[in-house]
Amino acid sequence: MAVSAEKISVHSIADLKNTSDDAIPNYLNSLGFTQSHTLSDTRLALGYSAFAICAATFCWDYQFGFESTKYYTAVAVLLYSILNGALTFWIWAVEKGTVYVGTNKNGDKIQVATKTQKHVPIYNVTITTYSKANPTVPNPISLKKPFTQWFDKQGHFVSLPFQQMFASNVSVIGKADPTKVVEKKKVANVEGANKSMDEKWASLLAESSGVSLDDLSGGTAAGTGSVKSKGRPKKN
Amino acid sequence: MLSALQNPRQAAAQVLNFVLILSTAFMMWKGLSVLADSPSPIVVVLSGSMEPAFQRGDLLFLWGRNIFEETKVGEIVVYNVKGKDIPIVHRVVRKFGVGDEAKLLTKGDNNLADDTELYARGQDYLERKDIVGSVVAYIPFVGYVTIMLSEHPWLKTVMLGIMGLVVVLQRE
Amino acid sequence: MHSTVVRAQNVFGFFTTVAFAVAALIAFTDLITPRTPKANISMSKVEVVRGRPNYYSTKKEEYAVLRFNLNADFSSLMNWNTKQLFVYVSASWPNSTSSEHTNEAVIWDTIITSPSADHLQNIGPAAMKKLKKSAEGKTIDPSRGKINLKNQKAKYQITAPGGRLAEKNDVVLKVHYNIQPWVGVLTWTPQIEFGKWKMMKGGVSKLFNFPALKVKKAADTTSR
Repeated sequence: MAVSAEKISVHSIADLKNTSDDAIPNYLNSLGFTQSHTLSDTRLALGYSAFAICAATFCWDYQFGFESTKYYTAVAVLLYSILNGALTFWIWAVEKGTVYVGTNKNGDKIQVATKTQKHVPIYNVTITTYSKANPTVPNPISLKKPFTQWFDKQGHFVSLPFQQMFASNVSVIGKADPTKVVEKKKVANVEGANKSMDEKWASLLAESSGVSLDDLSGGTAAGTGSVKSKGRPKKN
Repeated sequence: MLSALQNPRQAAAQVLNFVLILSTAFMMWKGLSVLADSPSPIVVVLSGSMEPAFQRGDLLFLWGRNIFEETKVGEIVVYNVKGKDIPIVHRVVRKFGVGDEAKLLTKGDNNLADDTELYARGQDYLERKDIVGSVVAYIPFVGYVTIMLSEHPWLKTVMLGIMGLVVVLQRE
Repeated sequence: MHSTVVRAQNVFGFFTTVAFAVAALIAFTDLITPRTPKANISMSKVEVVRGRPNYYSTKKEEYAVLRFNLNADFSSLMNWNTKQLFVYVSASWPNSTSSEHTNEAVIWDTIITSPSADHLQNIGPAAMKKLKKSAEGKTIDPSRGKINLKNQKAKYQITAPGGRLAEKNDVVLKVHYNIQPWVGVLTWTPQIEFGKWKMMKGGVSKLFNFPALKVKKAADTTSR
């Protein structure tokens, strides 16, 4: 389950972001966080009521023609634009890219918002935690990581480094999932997916001993080099 | 991508994206209709009777309100004839009287005779209520797509299918 | 799915944006082009006869046949966004109950195309050749906006619902124009001064009266 079976196009930032966004709720829910859907439910409610108005307008327009219903249509157009405006405002000013809101068993709240820029393959994650003792004081952590850290060249999502990124940087998550915490804020490389069995073992060992792969690779540089050149040539 | 559909909220959000594109387009059209007070504020020219001004496929913007002054001679109007589906775009060449009861006669610039013969049996003149709107603005050729679509109905199916697939299978 | 379709979409989207922006710019240039139309019109001959004004007319009625002089300079209206200039002369007269000119009928019109729209005219091949030759090498031909007509016969006879037209008073001839752009807003003779668009100088004839019905003998020798 470390590597997803699905493949996405690595040239599409939208795909990279969406796949990563989807992985966040899965991961956090598996750690015992209870997800709150208030934000997305409000968005859906706004959107679908706007659609309901549109559907009603379509029906009476179809049934009774334009002339006899134009005043209702005028009101409907106004309502629709208000609802649509509210929806836009909600997405832009309230959700602000929030993909997850949840609380753990201790009552600590966590909110994750993500963002990408056009043509820049970097995942901007802002994790805001609110401890139970101080529920009004936000404690934001911002991360900027290239997608290459958890997508391999074929476009498979590799969950280990992704989860390590969260566990290592956010103490609430780290506490819930201590095995994924990697010291010195270094996480396993996606390159691991292409490496030989030996190296995978090495990285596993490194994880369990709490030493990051990058630290380890310094010691076995010669070995790694020889393995790589002997092994199958790099794709692409 | 399709696995996203297993999560009902995500599925609902994805369907919403698609549905909102359609409904926003529809409501913009209706908003324009209400604003211009015309059941179809944008029309596509289907015949050559107003050539060289308008050709087949040109797009016309109509205005149906008479705020400052009434429909008058020289204006180009789109009108409906009782019992005929297709609206006609021609120029008003005669007007007798004022107000809603004013009698209007139209003629295509490219036609030799006026429209008396196009009107319903026993109808000699148009009235304001027959008029869908007056032409106020013009974009050439853009409407040709709709002529193609109505003349080759299978294109419509193909286009809708492609649009649906693209929107459903793609987020943002 | 991603690369090809999305790229095609992006290219098409960009193309439409650019096309519409350029069109909007072209349409906007109309506003900053001065328009200074002038026209001089006078009635030269009028008679009212009784007969069938058109070949499809079902009954005999009174109709007026007119001749007029027109001298107009619309050359300032011919710019790069002008597709055609539609010039028309109308006669208007009041009802018996009011002095307002509530009845109006077009008696003559002409289509003046820009050289760029010549090929769209519905005329014979010889006339087309002549028309195209008249503006060879030119994209805009302001000289076409000059009209000089002497004792021109009306193209359309004036009729009225009810068939009574003789001895109506205070008839007036007016010159109007309608500019058909290549893209943008259609404009008619302005009622007020609008930026660089001046009102038409002149273009209204002196008031005249429709005469009494002409005696029988001319009735059936209609122009058609």
